[in-house]
Amino acid sequence: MSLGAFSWSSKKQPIVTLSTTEAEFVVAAYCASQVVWIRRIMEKLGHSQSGSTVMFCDNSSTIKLSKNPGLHGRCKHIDVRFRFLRDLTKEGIVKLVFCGTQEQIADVMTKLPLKLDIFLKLRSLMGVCRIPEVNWQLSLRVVVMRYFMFCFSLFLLE
Amino acid sequence: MLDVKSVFLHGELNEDVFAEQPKGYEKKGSPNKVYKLKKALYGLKQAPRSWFSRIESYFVKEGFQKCHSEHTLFVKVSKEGKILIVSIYVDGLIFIGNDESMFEDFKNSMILEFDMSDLGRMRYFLGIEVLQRDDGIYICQRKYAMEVLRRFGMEESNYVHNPIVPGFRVCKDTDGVKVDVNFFKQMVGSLMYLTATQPDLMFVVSLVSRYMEQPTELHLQVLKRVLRYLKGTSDFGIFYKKGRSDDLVAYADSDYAGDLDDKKSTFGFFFL
Repeated sequence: MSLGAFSWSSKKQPIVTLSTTEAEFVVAAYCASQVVWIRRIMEKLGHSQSGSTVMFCDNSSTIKLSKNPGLHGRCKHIDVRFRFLRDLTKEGIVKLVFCGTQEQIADVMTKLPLKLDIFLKLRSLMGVCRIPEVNWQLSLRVVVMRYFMFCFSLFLLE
Repeated sequence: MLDVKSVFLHGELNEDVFAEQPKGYEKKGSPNKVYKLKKALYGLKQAPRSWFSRIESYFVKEGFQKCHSEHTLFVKVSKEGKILIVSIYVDGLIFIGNDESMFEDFKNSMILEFDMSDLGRMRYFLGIEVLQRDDGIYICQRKYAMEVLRRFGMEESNYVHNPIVPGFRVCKDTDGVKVDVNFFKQMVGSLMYLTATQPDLMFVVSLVSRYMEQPTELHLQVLKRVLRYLKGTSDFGIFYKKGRSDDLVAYADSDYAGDLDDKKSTFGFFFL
């Protein structure tokens, strides 16, 4: 919303998963439940979300699974989470969208060997930084404009 | 932000509590008598509780709603749909809302009811420094981070650019040399609080905290690396820019069988 992370988590999964797709699916379902909660809070604060919330995920088969109702051989056992995420997608509350590993900010929360430049890039994408400088140019422009308006009003009064 | 002066003296007692006469101030003629307390005092077991029930009943009277999952948070919604949220931490009150007149009413009634001082905009609360500017809000924990470094004797260390050695994998290390459990737990706990404004530490801290039961020198090394990283990033925080869109965006990711011991995966997500 404001280019700064406000809610995050990094946890070990409670279950052993059989494939990357399943692992990603577990996160997606977990994250979706957080989405529901945050959307509710936002609604209370008077900022209800109009469309469905975009959830970026770097596994395309997870995205396909969340959309297609068919069951696939290797995902037969993903039961409750399966239904949960699919229902939320159908109701238009969450929408899974693919993003490449380079833009996947949540990567910082899950992996150890990140290259330094990628780490620094992802960190700044999260909004983590030193105190940003005040935009002096912009402030100066505002001050100058106000001064001119003041002079102009004086001129009008005369 | 409001601050209550001599906070625990506001509480009212439900039970009979007696206090001895202070030494040197005994009443002449009856040195064996005791005082019966009418109000709470500092150092009483009941004091925090009685203070909270006092302020709680006040909030309920004023038309606030108590939050069910967070008992120190109170919300008031006016007829026009304006909202005022108040959070209490012992004697500190922070409040936020979208109506100036509600702020003023609330402040004035609080100052009348309790002995309050108005500290203006929030700048420092529970170790988190807040900078409110026209273009956004910036939060960081610089002071707290420096304290943590000093406490664990790492303030003179050289800083590093990433919180963990790239490619380094942590395991249970059952044969390793054991280190002091309490010390290790203190370190992890201090770093845990730092993740409130530094999400870049989140992964490493949660990784290390898995081995809190039987920490070895290997795990301590990882923690020390985190502290060295912190040395270079102690003044980092999060900046929330103003005027962005309302849309919520989430990022979710998981590794696969990242844990060397039980092959469970680690997941993480983000909301921007």
